[in-house]
Amino acid sequence: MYKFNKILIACFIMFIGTQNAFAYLDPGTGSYIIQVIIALVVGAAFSIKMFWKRIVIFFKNTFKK
Amino acid sequence: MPDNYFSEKSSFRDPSGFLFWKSGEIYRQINPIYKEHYEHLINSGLYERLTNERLLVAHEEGNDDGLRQNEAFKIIKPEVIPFISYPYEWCFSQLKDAALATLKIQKIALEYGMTLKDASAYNIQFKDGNPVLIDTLSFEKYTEGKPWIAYRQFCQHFFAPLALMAMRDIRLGQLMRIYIDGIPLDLASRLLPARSFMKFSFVSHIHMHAKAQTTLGQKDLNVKKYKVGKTSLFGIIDNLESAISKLNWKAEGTEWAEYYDDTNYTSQALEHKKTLIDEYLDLIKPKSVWDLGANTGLFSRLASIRGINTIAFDIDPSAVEKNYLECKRKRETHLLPLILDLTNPSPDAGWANEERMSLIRRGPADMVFALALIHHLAISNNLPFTHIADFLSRICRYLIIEYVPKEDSQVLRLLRTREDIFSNYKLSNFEADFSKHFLILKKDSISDSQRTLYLMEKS
Repeated sequence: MYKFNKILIACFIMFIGTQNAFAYLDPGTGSYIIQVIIALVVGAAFSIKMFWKRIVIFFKNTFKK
Repeated sequence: MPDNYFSEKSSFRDPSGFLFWKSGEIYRQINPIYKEHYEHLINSGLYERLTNERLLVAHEEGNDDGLRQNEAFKIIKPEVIPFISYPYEWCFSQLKDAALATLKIQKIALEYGMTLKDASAYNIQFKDGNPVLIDTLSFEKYTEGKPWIAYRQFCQHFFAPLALMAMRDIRLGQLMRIYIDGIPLDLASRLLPARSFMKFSFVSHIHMHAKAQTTLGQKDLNVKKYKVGKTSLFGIIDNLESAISKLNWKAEGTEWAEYYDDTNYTSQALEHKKTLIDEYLDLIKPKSVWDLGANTGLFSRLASIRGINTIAFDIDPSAVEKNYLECKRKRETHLLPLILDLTNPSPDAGWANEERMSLIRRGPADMVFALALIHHLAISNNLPFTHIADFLSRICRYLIIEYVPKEDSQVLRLLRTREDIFSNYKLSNFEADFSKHFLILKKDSISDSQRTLYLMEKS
């Protein structure tokens, strides 16, 4: 839970920040963090999608029989 | 080091290995550092699956006597790509197909316990009409919890340009020519329209991603402690795939899109022109053809249907898009449509101006078609015949060129709004200037028109 809070704080900092991209950056760090954040959202959605697909396939196979 | 050996200039970023040329053939050296990953690629069945699905270029492991250097683990010989093209030369659907191929490869790789360690658009090439990954060393063994290292590169090389082309302006694809490592996401974020904020994929992969780069990039964070599970990783790939699949651009409304509906050719003239080109092709039997100003590839197909590797260049992204979609529909394997502004062709670019090849460096073609083109270069672009002849002689061995006289309605149209400063635009001058670089082998009047078709050989 502590980790999750930290990520949410990082997410919040991002939206209030206004620096431009011309300063020296480590382009990997921001991309890494955002990927972790997106993964939390789409990972859950993907699991539901896959679960739903299995249900659909189950019923399709049932009705085929 | 063996004689007659030189390394490929674009192959220096990855310590896993590099490409080199020996006696006109291309090889890839694999360094010992990559041994474990290469063996997994082969032994896991991933290589076989990807090559069977035409997603990865096949290679041979053979006799490497005389090729091996001290530090090499292995030398492989990849299949040859007939023509190397770049993302700034692709139309919208070519870039989209290349993006979807990259994501499909990543999904399959994950199933086999590997992941793409880079997602460069330059690693994708079109072979037999399909986008294929040409870098066999792009895979590494997947470590549970590790995010996709190539995620940033994928967004910059594929998602950002596609989003800009679809949602803002098709010409923004040309930003890829300036930004060799893909379009900076903060720039993409600024250029995208407000409606892009309504979609999760644009908000997350571009707008938030750009903000994260600018605000978190400088912070001293120990990012490695954050993990991404495999299901979540599949989720990201699935989300990108779904977002890109939904991006569309309709080819219409540009200058040349309706060209064939707007020519002054009678059907008799058109058929005679085709017959003459067929005769010239039969006579020369070229191995490669570049059709300059090909529009949607009507004449390019005279060459490609004979099995000749043909590139159909055109300045208009709509024409190239239509041509590519037709290639896909008909499963054509010998025709590659590409975007090219002939008055400003792709330059030598990247590190030391050597990483990405100019058009000239990728030639010469066996044969060039310059059909209904001369008046656009000479009149619209004020180019003297001698300049045109000089350039064409540097990119081909044989030339099929159509002379369009000043009396032709298409030329009159170009002159309608401007002063006629082209007193040298005459057939006699055309022949004299081209004869400085070419030998005229054939000259035929196109029936039912005022135009003349020439077959020339570089002298």
